[in-house]
Amino acid sequence: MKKITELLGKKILFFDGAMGTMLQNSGLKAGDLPELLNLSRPDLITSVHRQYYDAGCHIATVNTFGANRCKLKDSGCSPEQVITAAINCAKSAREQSENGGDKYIAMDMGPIGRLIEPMGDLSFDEAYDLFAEMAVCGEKAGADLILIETMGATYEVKAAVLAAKENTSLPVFVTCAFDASGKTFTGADCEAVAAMLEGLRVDAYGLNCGLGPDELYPVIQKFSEVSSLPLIFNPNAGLPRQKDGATYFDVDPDSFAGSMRKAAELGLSVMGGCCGTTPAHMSAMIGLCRDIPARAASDKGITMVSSYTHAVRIGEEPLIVGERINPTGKKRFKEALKNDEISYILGEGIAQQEAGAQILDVNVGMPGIDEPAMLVKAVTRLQGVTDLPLQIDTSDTDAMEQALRRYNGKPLINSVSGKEESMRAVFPLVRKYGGAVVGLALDESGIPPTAEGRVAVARRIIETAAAYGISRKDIIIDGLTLTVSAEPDSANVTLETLRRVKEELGVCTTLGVSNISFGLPKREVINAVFYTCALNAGLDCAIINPKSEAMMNAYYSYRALRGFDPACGEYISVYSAAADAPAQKPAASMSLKSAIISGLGEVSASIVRDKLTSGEVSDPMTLITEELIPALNEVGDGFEKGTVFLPQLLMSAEAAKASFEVLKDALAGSGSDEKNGKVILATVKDDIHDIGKNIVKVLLENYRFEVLDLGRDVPAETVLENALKYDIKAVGLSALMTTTVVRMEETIRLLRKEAPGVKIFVGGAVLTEEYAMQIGADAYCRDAMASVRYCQKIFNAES
Amino acid sequence: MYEVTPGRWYSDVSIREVLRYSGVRSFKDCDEKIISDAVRAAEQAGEASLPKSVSRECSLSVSGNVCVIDGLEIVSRSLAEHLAGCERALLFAATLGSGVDMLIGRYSAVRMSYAVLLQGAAAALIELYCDIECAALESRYLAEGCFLLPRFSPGYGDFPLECQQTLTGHLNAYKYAGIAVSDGGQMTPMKSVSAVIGLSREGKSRRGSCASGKCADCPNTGCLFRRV
Repeated sequence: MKKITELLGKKILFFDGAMGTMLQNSGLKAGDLPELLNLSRPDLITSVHRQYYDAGCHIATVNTFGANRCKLKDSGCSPEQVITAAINCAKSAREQSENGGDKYIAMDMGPIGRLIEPMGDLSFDEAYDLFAEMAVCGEKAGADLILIETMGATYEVKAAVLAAKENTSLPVFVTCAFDASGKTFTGADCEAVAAMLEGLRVDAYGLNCGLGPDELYPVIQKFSEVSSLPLIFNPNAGLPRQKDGATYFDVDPDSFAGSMRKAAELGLSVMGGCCGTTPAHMSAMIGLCRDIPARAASDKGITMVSSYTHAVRIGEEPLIVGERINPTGKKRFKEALKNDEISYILGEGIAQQEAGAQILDVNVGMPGIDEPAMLVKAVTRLQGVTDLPLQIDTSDTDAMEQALRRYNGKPLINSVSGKEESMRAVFPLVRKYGGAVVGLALDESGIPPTAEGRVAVARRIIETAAAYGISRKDIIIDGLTLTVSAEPDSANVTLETLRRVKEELGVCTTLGVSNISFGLPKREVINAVFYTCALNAGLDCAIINPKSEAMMNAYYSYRALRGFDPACGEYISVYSAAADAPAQKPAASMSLKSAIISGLGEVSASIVRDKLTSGEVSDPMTLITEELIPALNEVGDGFEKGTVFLPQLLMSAEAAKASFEVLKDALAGSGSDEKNGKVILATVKDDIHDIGKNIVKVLLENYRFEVLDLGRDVPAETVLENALKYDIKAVGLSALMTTTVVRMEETIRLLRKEAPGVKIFVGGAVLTEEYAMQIGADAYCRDAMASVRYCQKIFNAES
Repeated sequence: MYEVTPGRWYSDVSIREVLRYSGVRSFKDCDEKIISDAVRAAEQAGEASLPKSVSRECSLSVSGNVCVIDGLEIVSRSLAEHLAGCERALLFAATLGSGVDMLIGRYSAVRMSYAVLLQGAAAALIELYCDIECAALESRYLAEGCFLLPRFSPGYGDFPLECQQTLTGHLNAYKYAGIAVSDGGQMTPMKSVSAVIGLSREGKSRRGSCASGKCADCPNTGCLFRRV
């Protein structure tokens, strides 16, 4: 028998239909694990496979959908036992079937049933291990391929694909479950799924489950437009209906076959069925579709990068890659990296998204930090707060590999150069994990001084990539921006390179635009003009600061002028909104105190700035003692009395923070910037609800406490370890539910034993004063202000 | 004035509810800016949502404080009392999807005041979504002369929180709606609900008494969000 991948594109291959439906029809009770029937009723499972083989199906999907260690934990059976038995059933059916065609066995891997961090609590590595165990068992027992199916979360798909590819030599097919809007349940659209799976180089992919063939037709059609790999379509037999307590599906075999024939015309490679489909459905479908000639998959040549929700197409319209997550030349950013202040990095990412970036560059390289660990942290945490695709920017290939592995989607990779050593290190990573890669037009001899030379290097990069199996669509050439004040012809060479790369090589382009103006005054002015010239010369991805007004003016204007903005709609909406918006400007009479009480962040900061620059205030401390602190006290008192509500309290806190940021530099060195004391905050183990803890953090920071935020789902040992390491006086713990208050009690017990001097204050929806005392806390804080008051009390008492 | 864009699934969300869930205890004393931010939060949370629900009709028998639903035994006096007189029950789970969690996470990192409003909006939206889905289910059952009792969720009274796992497992809620229960017994995405809904032939009158204000039955009388 030929390897199944050799048949892809030569003829349509047919998967089987539902297993669960057949088992339920044979009396499987709800709540029973169907996989255990492989051991207890092999005759039944074998008979289902045999019916499908006899109906003409080429591939039997074995009964291992949920045969992972997590789901089997209370069954008394191991994945290996269940999987081996499952594959033996399919082997028996293959021998028994009188149908003479090709017959393959697919090891089936369904979702684990838990969401991976940050959406849920399962770690990526745990998910990987669960799938790896299944895949290895499947290959050992004799499967011909691995089918990863009914997936809704792209991160889980990635864990499963890597587990299958790294631990077996079997072909890997993947199908995801979509709804009628063309999204999986975590919000991924077709292009996001296609980009990631093609990047991971699976053998075939598509969709299954969810809905019937008619409802899913638009989704498979969309796939057929963007996909460069063989496509699979395994829909349900329509929609589930209930009658007399039993579930049935509403599309009969003939209707199913008719709908599948229509879908097959799109150029499918593999077809079958999911929930509700039976051997009769498969038989009817095969009868109608078997003579349709298969189409070999062809490279659509679309350059895409993706996040876990959507893909961004490169080369169709100008794109902005936000450049601000990068420590080069930024003192504050370096300080944040040194202090592991991840929230600062997240803030930079979010601000750039709000300013209009479509992709975010992430560079955290700095001497003295563990770059691989920091890059992974930055990438995974950013993916928890932004759905933009990321550009992983590092020259450390270890950091690059670790970040690529943990990235949820298909990233941009920055970068490879024309140096042999660089290509040898980077291309295998691109090949393995997927990604579009920035190719720098330089090599061992340095940066070629002419466009001719840079195009030659670019050509070599593209050719070498091809030898690694990386398509030219995934190469994005950076023609290199050099400083115009140092090299007068440099802008011309860069622009000429852009033009020729587009014309002669036909690949996408990128540039770090603002390098052009190093050493010049008013850099924004020249940056914006150079950016416009570059756009005109064929720049696709501009690595710029989207918070720069001049650059964004150029961007929106260029789009309007060159037909990327129909009827100038975007331009009008951006600039008429800006003209209408009342700018947050201080009224002449407004005091800092009233601006903070009103929660006006920009106004507060601007008042502080004016007072400092005009010399009206000589000692910045007076602003703090006479305006800022009284304002916070007034709002805090109002909150406690119930006249000020939580959102107002926080808006004032944010306004105060904005003022502190301005005052910070003025205070630096004066010794007045000292904090009140260091406090640990944590949401306890097993609890993932952290909004309450985050509110407390904002307020404590406002009252000049230094907060060590340990995050959510924090084990007792981690709290203790940090309390001891930083000699902490106060620990605040939060827990949402009765089930996690138990963890809170355990944490308190451990701290009492190992760090007896620490004061512990607690809060959370189900806690009461009495309950807090019962579990051994020092104080119950019913809200954020109560936490502030408690910390003030204990730190004042100490000082 | 305080309405989100019409024509969306979430258009009927009550901004007063959004504010109440955000800790605003008096609508009339609330700052105008916060009200307009609450509208924006409801709009943004609604846009980020990918709501899904799954339900299943089950056999039911109640004896003492034991309810047997499709063969699953649940020991809870509150649930047994709630379901008394029902012949069947629906298991129900719904979620707004993880996009809303991500959105709240985004603003928690940069603007907590707005994150609190988004969180309030999401709380109001999941209630609204459950009501919409249950109304659709009820219209189907009314044809059979059955009414739907109010949703009764794990955590109400002595209905154990651990039963979230039982309900979502039986519904296959991860496969059909992306709803999972974490190791610590918490539902993910965070704005998710699981519940038992009694199917009653004498539903109308009971529904009236049970559903009055929704907070009326809850023993947590000190709750910050209790409707007065």
